[in-house]
Amino acid sequence: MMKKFLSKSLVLLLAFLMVFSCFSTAVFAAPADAEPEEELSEKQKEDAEKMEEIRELLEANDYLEYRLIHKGAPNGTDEVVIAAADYDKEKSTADVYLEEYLNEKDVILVSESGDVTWNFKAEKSGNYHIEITYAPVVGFDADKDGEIRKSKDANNDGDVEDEGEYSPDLVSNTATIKRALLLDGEYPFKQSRYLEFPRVWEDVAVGKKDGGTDERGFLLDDDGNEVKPKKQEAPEWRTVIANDSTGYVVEPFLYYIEEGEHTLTLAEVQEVFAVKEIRIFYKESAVSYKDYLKANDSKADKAAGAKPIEIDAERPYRTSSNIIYPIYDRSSAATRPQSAYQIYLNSIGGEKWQTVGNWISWDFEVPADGYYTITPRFLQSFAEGMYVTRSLTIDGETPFAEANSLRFKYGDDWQLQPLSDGVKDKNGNERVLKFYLTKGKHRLEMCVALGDMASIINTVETSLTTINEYYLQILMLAGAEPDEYRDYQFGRLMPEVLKGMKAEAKVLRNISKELEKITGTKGSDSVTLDNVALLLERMGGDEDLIAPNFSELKDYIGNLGTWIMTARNQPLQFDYIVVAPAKDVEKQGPEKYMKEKGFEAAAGFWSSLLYEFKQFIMSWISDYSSYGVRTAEGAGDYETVEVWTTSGRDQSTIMRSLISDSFTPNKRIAVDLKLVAAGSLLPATLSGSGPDVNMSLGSVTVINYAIRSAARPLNAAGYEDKAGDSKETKEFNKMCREIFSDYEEVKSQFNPAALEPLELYGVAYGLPETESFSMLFYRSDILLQHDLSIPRTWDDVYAMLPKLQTNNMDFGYHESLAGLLIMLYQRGEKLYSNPVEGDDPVKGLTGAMSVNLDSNEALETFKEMCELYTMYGFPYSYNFANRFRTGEMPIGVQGYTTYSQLTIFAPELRGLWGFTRLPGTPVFDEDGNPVIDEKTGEQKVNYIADTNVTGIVMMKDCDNAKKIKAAWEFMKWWVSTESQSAYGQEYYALLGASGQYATANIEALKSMSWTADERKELMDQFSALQATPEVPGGYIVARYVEFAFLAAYNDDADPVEAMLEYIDAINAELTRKRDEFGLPTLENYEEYMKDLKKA
Amino acid sequence: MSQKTETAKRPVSRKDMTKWQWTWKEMKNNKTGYFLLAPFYIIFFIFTVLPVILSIFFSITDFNMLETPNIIWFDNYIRLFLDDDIFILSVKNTLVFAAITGPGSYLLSLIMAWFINELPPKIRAIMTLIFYAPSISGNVYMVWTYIFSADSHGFLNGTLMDMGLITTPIAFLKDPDYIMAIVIIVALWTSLGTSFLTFIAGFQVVDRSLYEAAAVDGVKNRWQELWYITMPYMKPQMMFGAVMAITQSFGFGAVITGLVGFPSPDYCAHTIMHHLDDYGGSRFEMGYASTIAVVLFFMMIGSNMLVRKLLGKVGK
Repeated sequence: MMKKFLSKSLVLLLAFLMVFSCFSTAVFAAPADAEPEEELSEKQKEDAEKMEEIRELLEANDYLEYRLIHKGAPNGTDEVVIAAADYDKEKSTADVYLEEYLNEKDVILVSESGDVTWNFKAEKSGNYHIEITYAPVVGFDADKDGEIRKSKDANNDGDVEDEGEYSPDLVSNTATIKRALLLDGEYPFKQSRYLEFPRVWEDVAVGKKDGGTDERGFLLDDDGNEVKPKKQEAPEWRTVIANDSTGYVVEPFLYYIEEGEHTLTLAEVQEVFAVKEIRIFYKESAVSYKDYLKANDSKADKAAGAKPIEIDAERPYRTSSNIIYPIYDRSSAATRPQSAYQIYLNSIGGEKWQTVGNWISWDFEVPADGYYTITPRFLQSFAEGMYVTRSLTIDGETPFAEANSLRFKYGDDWQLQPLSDGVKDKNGNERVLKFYLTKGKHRLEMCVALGDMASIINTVETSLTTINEYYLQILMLAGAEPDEYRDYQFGRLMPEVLKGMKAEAKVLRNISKELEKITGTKGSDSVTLDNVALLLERMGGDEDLIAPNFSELKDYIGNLGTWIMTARNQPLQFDYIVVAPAKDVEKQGPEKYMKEKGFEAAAGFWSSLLYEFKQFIMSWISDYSSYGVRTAEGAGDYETVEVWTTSGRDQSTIMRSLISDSFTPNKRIAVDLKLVAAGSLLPATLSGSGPDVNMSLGSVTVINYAIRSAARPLNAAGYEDKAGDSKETKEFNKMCREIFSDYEEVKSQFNPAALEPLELYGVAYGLPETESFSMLFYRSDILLQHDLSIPRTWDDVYAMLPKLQTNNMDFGYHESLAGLLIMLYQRGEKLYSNPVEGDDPVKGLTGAMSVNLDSNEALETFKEMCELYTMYGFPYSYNFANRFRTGEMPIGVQGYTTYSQLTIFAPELRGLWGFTRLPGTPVFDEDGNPVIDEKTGEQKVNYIADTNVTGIVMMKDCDNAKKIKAAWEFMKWWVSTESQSAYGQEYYALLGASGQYATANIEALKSMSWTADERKELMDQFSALQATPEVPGGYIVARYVEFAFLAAYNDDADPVEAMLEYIDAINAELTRKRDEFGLPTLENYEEYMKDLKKA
Repeated sequence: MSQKTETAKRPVSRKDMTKWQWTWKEMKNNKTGYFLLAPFYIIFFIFTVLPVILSIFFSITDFNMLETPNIIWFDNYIRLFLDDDIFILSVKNTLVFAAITGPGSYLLSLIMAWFINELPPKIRAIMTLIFYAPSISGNVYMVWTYIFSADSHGFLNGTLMDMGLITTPIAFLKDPDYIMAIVIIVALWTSLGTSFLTFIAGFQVVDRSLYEAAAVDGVKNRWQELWYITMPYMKPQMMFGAVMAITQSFGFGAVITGLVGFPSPDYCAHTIMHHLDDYGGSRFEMGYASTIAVVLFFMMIGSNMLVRKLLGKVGK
């Protein structure tokens, strides 16, 4: 009895204690909540606004949900036309200019940043389409002083009256125009945030006067190969009904608009554009093919017997993107034109024409009214076992609904098939679609679409988002590596996750079945889905299986993402398109007809054999590395500069075309650009057979060459006369000083930080080409979910860590020297110290005699950096993109080019992440008082990042006046804004979104494909960069800092002691290296200075 | 033989001329032999002998790869032996590494070859391929970087954390406590290369009748067979294997760099090869690097002589 009483009272006591302890923590917690909120800085307010916008977006309905809500609403019967010029001046924040543009009066040009709002009144409630008439803005350029002017061709009248009054925001780049459409200041649904307005591009026609063209209008190189034509923008007014830029929603968007006054806003995302008119109406969807035939059958068909028309696909009228350009196919002898000896640009598309919304248009003329079939010769060897989809319009109209999902089946060789929507006819063949065309000119446009795949991919993407959410929930409970043997009680704590997993498994199974039905085979695509479904079934069915399979789930999430990425791509390559009278084709059957008319999908056996054999023989003779080399007329008399590059073949082809287009003809200097293997520069220089100019050398190498006098100085400081110089040397110096006198001017195009590592003691040895630096990447959805804001200072970072870590999430950062430098520079410290006080009497020769890592401040910083890993548990090694995607690492400091990787790699995260400047360190003056920023009235925060550059150098062997002059011209031209942005854009065109070229040229970086917001953030960080000077022996610092860090990380050594242990070794090496080059060292600099004074 | 007959025929005697004259004369007489030897010898001289000579020359200069070298005589050697702690460390590392992996891989090859030799021919072929594969597939050792990845999702770390043995990931390839052991394991794994194949071939050429004869003479077990018959019989192969093993063990630098990066944390796996790379590659001090190369060259010659002596004891 007694025992029972005791145990009972004990239980009671424990229960009481528990309740009390809960209460007491609540009591303690209360005042913390009640604490008055700290005053927010400008930047934080901005962040809050941005976050708020993302919250709105996250909370907005998906389009499908939106449609369900307004399903019952009638189709709109009203039609409202808003002239763009009637925008609401008060509500609009963008710079808007009323102009005459492209032959239309009173249209508006809208700057990239800011919103434009219109007011309108709807008479009747209902579902409406919104149609926008727009044009890309071309012809506004910034001149050298940053003034904006209208180029003469912008308007046909050439009347330039408002010169210089435009905003810099009006300078257009070549990225896709993007806007968000808001009704009454809100997103009606998520997809309305991502409207895209394609640009219009055409091939630059090359006239005979440029010389060296063939009859097809392509330029020829020295070996008679056709060279890729340049693309230029061909702005025209286009009307677009607001639709889904991802292609998941096939029909254009229907907005539900109630009777009454409304506002319509086009909000800033990316690029400048012109708007003429906005129309709100309801557009009936296109008729079905059956009805189309019914309507046209009664019309006369006089086409029979007419000659088939062949459209050369590689010479389109226009394209939507500068990526889509003529390419060469050497695989088939039947591709027209084809030669084993020369490269012909004989087809178009392929992997360049695979993104939803990209179109190509062709012009053609038919001889008589009537039905025609359209038969392209195409290659679809890209999406194995699947088909790709295109939508077709003729003269801007969709002829019938089925034309929105034309299918191109997989085949490993070229095919010649009439357009079809994949529906089988009576005989079990895919039916041939025919189009009724009137006599005369027509324009055929084919656009990448997803067709039946749209709903499938969309479902998988939604499913992926849900699975990701489950992953995060489990992660927050159990961590990234849950213990198999522990019972986490998932079933009790998160029953909805288990249920949800099973539901998602079912969804994926269904999709996989549907996919099989569509493609007719069980391909690897459906297997991926089945595997994920199987895993989810197991995990959802048995909570004990969650922990052991958790890391596998993460891999599968990655697989699903890749699946979506590949399924979204719809590559297709065209050779030519045959438009033939439908009657004739039907009578003979497409195959027979085409053969008779001389069109064939594949060449016959013998002609193929002959072609292959010729190619084989030619492979011994052709010099593929010289493809694209065009020696300008009279170039024999030009000075030739030999330039070496180690970049890829594609990049060097771009460089070559840039050189032959805009450098050689203008400057009358020929360039012999050679693609060489990395590491060949050193032996070549040693044997005296090196180039005049070498591209893309890392700053370490530049200085290594410079200090061993193998690189040529690029500024006057490198050519000062010394006592005892001979007369010739003096003359040479004088000449060089003259040539390089404009160095200061060239220099102004770069961030000063980019120049520092290429300089040595005031002498410049290279011009910066690329510049990389870190930025802070964050997942806004996760930060919002946990009520966190973007950290602006390191204190903010420390403050957010507990919340991140209780949810098993991490912060990503650089360790060792990279991490240390950021923190060190933010505190205003330098990496090297100079014991000589005051002004440097010998031009910095005494700089970097010792390392500054033993100062108190530096040791403190180093300790802090180590503690991030030892105390705060930052992960030492991680795959950022993977962890960022799953949300395991929702925030982290990474090189800014990670941006491209994330865009490509994680399409499902679109709009849910961003990048911004690094967390900074508040600045205090010497007395410890906060330093106030004059502009904002807040304490200054130093958010410097360290930067790395590669540079272009002139070698010492380039040593006669003409050569030096020519080489310098080339270098200046190459790093100039025009060339760098042209190269960046071509590079982007070549590689797509993953090809962001990290140029060091400020203006060129701005002109790359960024959204307004991204550009702002990028420039913000770009203005706060600091580089580490390259000094003799500098390599030793990174090495020992890493050793010290590892000692602290692996063996819990005291960071300060670990660092101090290596200081002597670092300084000894610096001294030794300086000795080698006869520089003053820590040991002898006093004597050195004395000697100098005497002299 | 031919020498004797020729000297007998001619009236000129060996004593009539100097050593050089005599050699020249002999060379002229045997010019066909030299002619046949020439193609190989010229290539061998240009690409093997000449670099060694050049290297010895550069070792007494301050050559920096871009400027004309100055002769500084023995400064490099003095610095190397008296003022370079890291070199001494690298000698230690190299010796430890070579002492374990050299004989280790040699014995491993030999034992594996012996075992495999006992298998039926078809299985033998398959097993040979399995063991030989790692050494021919280039950088296949890089799989170990995934196994020992410091990421918490790395194979070993993930498994250990799953089992609850550790809570935070261990940076195996960045922690001096583990590096040497891992590197040696991987080196042994990749070392079953050419010498292994020669051993297998060697085992197969042993004359079967010798075993019978030996059995008659009183050999009692397979060990005795191995020691008294097989091994002496395949001495040339063993010599070749030993030379290969030693050269290999001195030149494992690439494997180590591939695994733990360059330089290894705290120089814990810094071998002479690394030291050479460090000065020749990142510091542009070719003169000093040549000095290191010369020292390494003599170390290799020395150990080869040692091995020759040891192998002489086989079967005795």
